[in-house]
Formats: sequence, structure tokens, C-alpha cells
Amino acid sequence: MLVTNNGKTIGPSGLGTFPLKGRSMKETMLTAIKVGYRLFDSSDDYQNEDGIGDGLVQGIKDGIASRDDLFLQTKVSDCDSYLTDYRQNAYFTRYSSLMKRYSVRDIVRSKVHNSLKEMQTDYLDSVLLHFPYPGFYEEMWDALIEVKKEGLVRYIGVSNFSVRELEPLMKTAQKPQINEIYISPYGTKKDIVDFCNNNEIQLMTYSPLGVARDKKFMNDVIQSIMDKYNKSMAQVVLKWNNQVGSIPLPKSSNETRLKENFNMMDFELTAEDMERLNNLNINHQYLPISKECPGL
Amino acid sequence: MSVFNKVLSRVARRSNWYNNVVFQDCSKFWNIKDYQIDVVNLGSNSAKYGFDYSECNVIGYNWAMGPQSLLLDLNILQSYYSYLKPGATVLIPLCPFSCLVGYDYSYLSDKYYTILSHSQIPCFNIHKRVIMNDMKLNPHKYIPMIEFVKTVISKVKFGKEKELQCNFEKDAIRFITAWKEQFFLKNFDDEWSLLNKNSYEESKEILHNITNFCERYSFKPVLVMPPVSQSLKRYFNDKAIGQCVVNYVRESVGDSVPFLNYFDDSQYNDESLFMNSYFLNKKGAGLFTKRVLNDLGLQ
Repeated sequence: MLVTNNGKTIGPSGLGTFPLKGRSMKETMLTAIKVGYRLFDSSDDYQNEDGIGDGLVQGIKDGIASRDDLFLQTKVSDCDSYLTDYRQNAYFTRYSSLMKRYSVRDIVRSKVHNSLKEMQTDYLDSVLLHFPYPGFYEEMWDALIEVKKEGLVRYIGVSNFSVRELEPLMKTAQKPQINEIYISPYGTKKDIVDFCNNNEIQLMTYSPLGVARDKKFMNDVIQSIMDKYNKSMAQVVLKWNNQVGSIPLPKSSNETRLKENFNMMDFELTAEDMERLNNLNINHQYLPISKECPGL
Repeated sequence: MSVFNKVLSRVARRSNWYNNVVFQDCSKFWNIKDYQIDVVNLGSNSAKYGFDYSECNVIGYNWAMGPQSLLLDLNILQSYYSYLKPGATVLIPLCPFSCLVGYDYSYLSDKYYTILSHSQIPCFNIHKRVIMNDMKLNPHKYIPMIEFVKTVISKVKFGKEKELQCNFEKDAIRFITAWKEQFFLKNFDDEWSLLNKNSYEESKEILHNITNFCERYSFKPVLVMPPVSQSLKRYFNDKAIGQCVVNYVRESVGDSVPFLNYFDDSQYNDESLFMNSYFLNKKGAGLFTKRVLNDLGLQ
């Protein structure tokens, strides 16, 4: 179970931060902290680590949080987004000239140090590999193990990894502690969920409300469960995430929705309701992984 | 975008220029709706016109693009495999000279900037990507005026374009001449130049990589040689087909991958199944697709 540096739990959900940036990121973070959020999920290609850093400093200054109260998570991507969006695939691809000049280890270390600087902190609670970059991710994982040993990072994990890609990492000195993926009642990915739960890998869900905000996914099953518990579709979907063992990371900058997305401890879906929701599975994907990170 | 620009953009999106020149066959990748595809085919023009899953009882997608090399087949598969269900069948269609293209990226047209990721495009050009994406979203800014006018007139006045009658004999000569020029061949069964020998070795590696990729990701690869018309077939003797197709498959993947060869199949001797000497028409594609699926036990 993930905890903050001072041993506190991180709550039922965290805050997904893409595509918030700059002042908007900072303000949202401060609002979220007041609501109760502890986990803030970013990535080095979201271009908002500086906003999180500003929010952290302001939050400490305002006395609403200490660094050790919060759980800051980022990811190592293939982008060099400290410049522009267009530097996608700068790293960890076969055509990148950078891969001939620098080692994977050096690039990962450099990226972690950049994230530390941007977030204005001397440790990160967790760093994930954003995608299973083919041909590179195993070496990237070794580099993450090193930065963890040095105390720069408390937890290390992965994102968008399937069982096939997780398996080789299970044999290394440190198995992944987190896998951030997309799941929903419409895309249950049972094989990955079971694998992670059986191997004590904490699941997190990005864009968990991708279906809840889309009317085409509304149906009688969802409606009846919403009516039964007097909850919104978003709350039902987030609770489903919790009960399959995942920490959902919904993004919102609206205070009402931030509260709605965080306050879901007052109800529990029955086993029967969970089964009805699981039966909605149509293998929906929010972000087809191969389009972002082609296989090899 | 103003209403006026939106209207212009909609018209431009329906133009021949948009759909068959600049972004030929791209829209099939922009709008994939299924995440549990049973069967998919890769390939070039012969597969693009050769497969039609609309009458079949499977979720099938035709991912062939015209024209396309095996190398780009691999890139497409690597980029879109997330849409296939575990155990899905991947049909890898071959053309008579697929084995002579190799790693030549000079066949990479700009349209691939809208369907492949940066990491798959050698010598990636940022400005080109910006322009191609803008062209995709705002075609009215780029469409040649004459094409725009033609589109408006054709939609308003003439409706559907008429199908042209094809002279199969002349058309076969056109294909044969084009292949001879493209691959520097005098006769199809001549010994190849070093350039072609090199491309052949590269193509073996690519085909091996495609089938390996399928196996690694738990898909079933199947090699398919689609039929051609009698008019075209007569230009290929056994030696030429043996060299370009049969030996190529055997040397690349051995017997490890099923190979369905319909090149010489008498079921497709009827020219009414073809739109020209090389490509099947809609009726032919429907029959051929069902035949392939039947032969694989998927229908």
C-alpha cells in the first residue's frame, strides 16, 4: 500500500493533471489539497511539473500541507518537453541521434533530476516509465532502480504496461510497485488487473472518467446503480476502480467536481453490482497504446 | 473556425484531391472504432481492392494502403496492433515484387505523417508534420482551386462518377512496364542485379520481422498472394513466380507461417471479378475475402 513520506494514506483517488499547466496547475493543486487530495500525477511531457512545484511551495507557505503530506508522481517519457511539444520521441527511439550519444541510464537520470528541479523538491514519491518503449524499457527500468537506491525516489513503477512487458521486470532487483493504465467497466483489462493485484503492484487509472463524461456509455445498468446509491456516474466509475484495486486519477480543475471525485468513501458497491459493471466490458481503450508507443 | 470556413473544409474533405491524392487510405486509421478486431489485412493496392469484410461474419479491417511496401506494413501493424484482439489473424498480402522493395523509405509519402508516430519515420521533419496535420484538419486552406471547383460540380451536377471500362490487355502491359521500370528488370526471370539482390535480402528480413512481431504479440500471421487476371498472369512464368514469391516466402519464414497462394487459382479466371488486370472489383473482393476466411476456418 502506498503511503506518503510521513506514513499517511493517499486517499481513494489522486489528481490527474494533464493538460493543466502553469498558474492553472498551481491553483488547481492548492484547491485539491484543501479538498483532501494527496496524490498528484504528472509526467515530464505534460509540461506542468513547474506548476506543481509552484503549488507545492505555495501550499507549504500557506500552511495547508507539508512536503511529506503529499505524494508527487511523475513519469519518464520519450519527449523533451522542457522545450516544446514538438520534441516528441527525442529519446528511446531507434532513429534518435541522442541514443547514440547518451546512455539510457544518463537520460533517465537527467530526466529525474529535471523533474526534481521543476517540482522544487529533493525527492519524488514515485517515478514511472510512461510507456514500454520497445528495445529500451528494460534498461530504463534498471536506471530507475538506481535512482531509487540513491533515495531520489520512494517508489518506482510503470505506466501502460501489459503483462507481457511486466514479466521481464518481475525478475529484476526491484519489481514495479505501480502500474498506471486505463481501465473502466467498459475496458476491464482483467489479465493486467489480476496480474498486478496478485503481484502487489498498485494499479492506478488514468482518465478514469473518460467514459463517465460520455453519454454514449450511459445505459440501464449504470443508471440503476447510480439510482441505487444516489451517486453520479463519475462516482460509480471511480468506486468501481477502487474496488478492483486501483487508485483512479481523474482530472478536474472545478472545485465541485474535485470534491465529487474524492468523496466516495460513504458507499460500497456490492459484489453483484461489481459483476454487473464488469459485464459491460467491451474492451474499450481510451488511448490505444500502440499509437503512442509502437511495438517492435 | 467560421461557418464559411467549416463549409469550405467539408467540401474539401470530400474531394478526390483529399481522399485519393493527399490522404489516400488514411481515414481508415483516423477513425478505427473497434478494439477487438478478429482479422486484419495489410498490403498494397492489390490487397486494398482485394479484401472486403462487409459481408463476412467477423470483425475485419482492411489496413492496406495504396501503394505500400512490406516495411510500411510492419510499421502500420506496430502502430495499430492495440486494436486487435488476442489471437487475431493478420493477413500479410504479397505483390509479385514485394520482395524487391526492401528498406527503401523513398516510398514513404507525406500522408504517413498523419498515421505513424514520429518514432517510426526516419529523418522526421517537424514542419512537414505540422503542415500535414493542418492540411488534414483544414483542407480548404490547401486544396487547389480547380480541384475544389471540380468537387463542387461533381457533387451537385453529376452525382457518382461512372465506372470506366478497362481494356485488360493494355492494362496488363501498363502494369508490366511500370514494374520493369521500378525494379530495373528487362525480363522477370532474368538474374537480378546486385541492387535487387540486396533488396531481396532486406525484404526477407522484413517479412521475417512481420511474422515474428505477430507471434510475439500473440497474433496469427498468414501470407496471402491475391489472384490476378488471366491477362496479367500470362506475363509471369513459373520461374518468375518461383523466384519472386515462392522462394521468397520459403527463404523468409520457411514453413512456419501458412501461405495461401491464389495467384494461379482458376476460380478467378473470370474477368468480371476484376476492375482492371491486377485489382479485384467489389464483387471479386467479396468472394475472395470469403474464400480466404473459409480456407482459414474463420467463416
